[in-house]
Amino acid sequence: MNTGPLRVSVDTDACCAMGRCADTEPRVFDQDEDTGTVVLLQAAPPPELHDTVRLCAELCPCTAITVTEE
Amino acid sequence: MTQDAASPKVTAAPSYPMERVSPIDPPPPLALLRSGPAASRITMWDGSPVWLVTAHPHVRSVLGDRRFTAVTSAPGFPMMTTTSVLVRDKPHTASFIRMDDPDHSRLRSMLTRDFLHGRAEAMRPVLREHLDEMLGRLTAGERPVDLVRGLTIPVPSRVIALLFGVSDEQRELIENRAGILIDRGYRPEQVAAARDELDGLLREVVEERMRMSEPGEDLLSRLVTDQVRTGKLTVEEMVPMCRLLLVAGHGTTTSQASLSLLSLVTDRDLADTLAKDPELLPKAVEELLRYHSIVQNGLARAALEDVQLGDVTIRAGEGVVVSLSAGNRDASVFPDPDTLDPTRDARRHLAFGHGIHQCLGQWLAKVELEEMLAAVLRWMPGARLAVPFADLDFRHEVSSYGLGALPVTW
Repeated sequence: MNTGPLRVSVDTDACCAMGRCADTEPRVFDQDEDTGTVVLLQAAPPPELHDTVRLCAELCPCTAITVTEE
Repeated sequence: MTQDAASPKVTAAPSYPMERVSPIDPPPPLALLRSGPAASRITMWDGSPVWLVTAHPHVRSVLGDRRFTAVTSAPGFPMMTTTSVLVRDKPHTASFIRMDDPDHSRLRSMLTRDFLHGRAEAMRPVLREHLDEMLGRLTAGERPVDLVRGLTIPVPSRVIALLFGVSDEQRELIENRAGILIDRGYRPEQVAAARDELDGLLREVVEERMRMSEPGEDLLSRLVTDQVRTGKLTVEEMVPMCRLLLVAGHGTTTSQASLSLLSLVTDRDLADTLAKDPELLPKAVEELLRYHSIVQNGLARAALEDVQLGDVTIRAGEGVVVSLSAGNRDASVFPDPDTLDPTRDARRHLAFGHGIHQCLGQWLAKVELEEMLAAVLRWMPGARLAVPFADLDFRHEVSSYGLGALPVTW
């Protein structure tokens, strides 16, 4: 398992507001209350959140979450 | 599954949809195809050759790839049902599930806020009240009780009525026609007539809202106020949108609920686990979605350009069917896939599809399913099947696989 630094970015144009990310890892993702669009809470989450952040990227139906690992 | 890999049945483009052997498991040839190339040749019921995709990663990749169109009138698009043929021949009556972006997202985004996770959660208390009232009445009467007629049909139906703000009479008419659209047991002319009638009924409901000086708070009123009256949406676009919400939101929830409850009343371990630990319900519902995969024949797409899918090249203009049920039984993602395990993390399931068309109503569906299971556990502890399993009426002809009746006693 990769334990190096992990960066998250979100593409709000691609986001389809399904909210899978905010449900799966609410410490990293939130949703705009009105439109449901993703709000990124932290771009460099700590290692203990890496697994769920990767899962969020996988679950996102619209490929709006990008995870970069060194 | 005892067929060997060299079986000519598989190499000679098997016909599709395939037949089940066990009423609970997907057709056995799917497992064999899944271990082969990324896509296999099949022959659709109407004789046309298309590709079938069965492995989880490939299903996901097709549904997430915009080079595969959802437009039914596109060259090579597989005809899943008679309704697909109708949509192909009358493209202007297509709903946004049959469109690509940007048309699709322009229309879908008008509905996003009504189906947010928080909105679905907000419906839970009202739903629980309805359920207690329904089950109070059901359990006061004679046994056995049919949970399909008594619960899994009326619950999604009430939810739609709440969303749409339609009368019971309108609702019944509308649902009857909507049911015909997903049933392969009807003749093409019956399906065409039902679709026209349904559109007529929905147009009446929409026009009713248009005549009101102050439409209500329901979804249709809001669409009229925010979108139609501001010129962003035409009535011609709104009717197919309403039709989609009905067809996608009603029969599917009924089917998934009927099979989920079947698991609950036939699998003692599942019932005991959930009775002991109701906190497991959301997890169990995800697993039941994976396990039953009621959109039994999968989803259709067509390639707009040549696409390399694993070891197979899909050419522009070729049709593709992705099997959600095969992907959901893929052991590389779900170990021991043919076992229903309410404690497993099943969130990667494809029951709601993937990509821009992933089910808009998924949160609402999950709330409905959780609440229906919880209500049966509360009101009918120890519920069991009241007829032999072999006598159950599985609806093989319907796009969303389910039960015609579920007689239980307790």
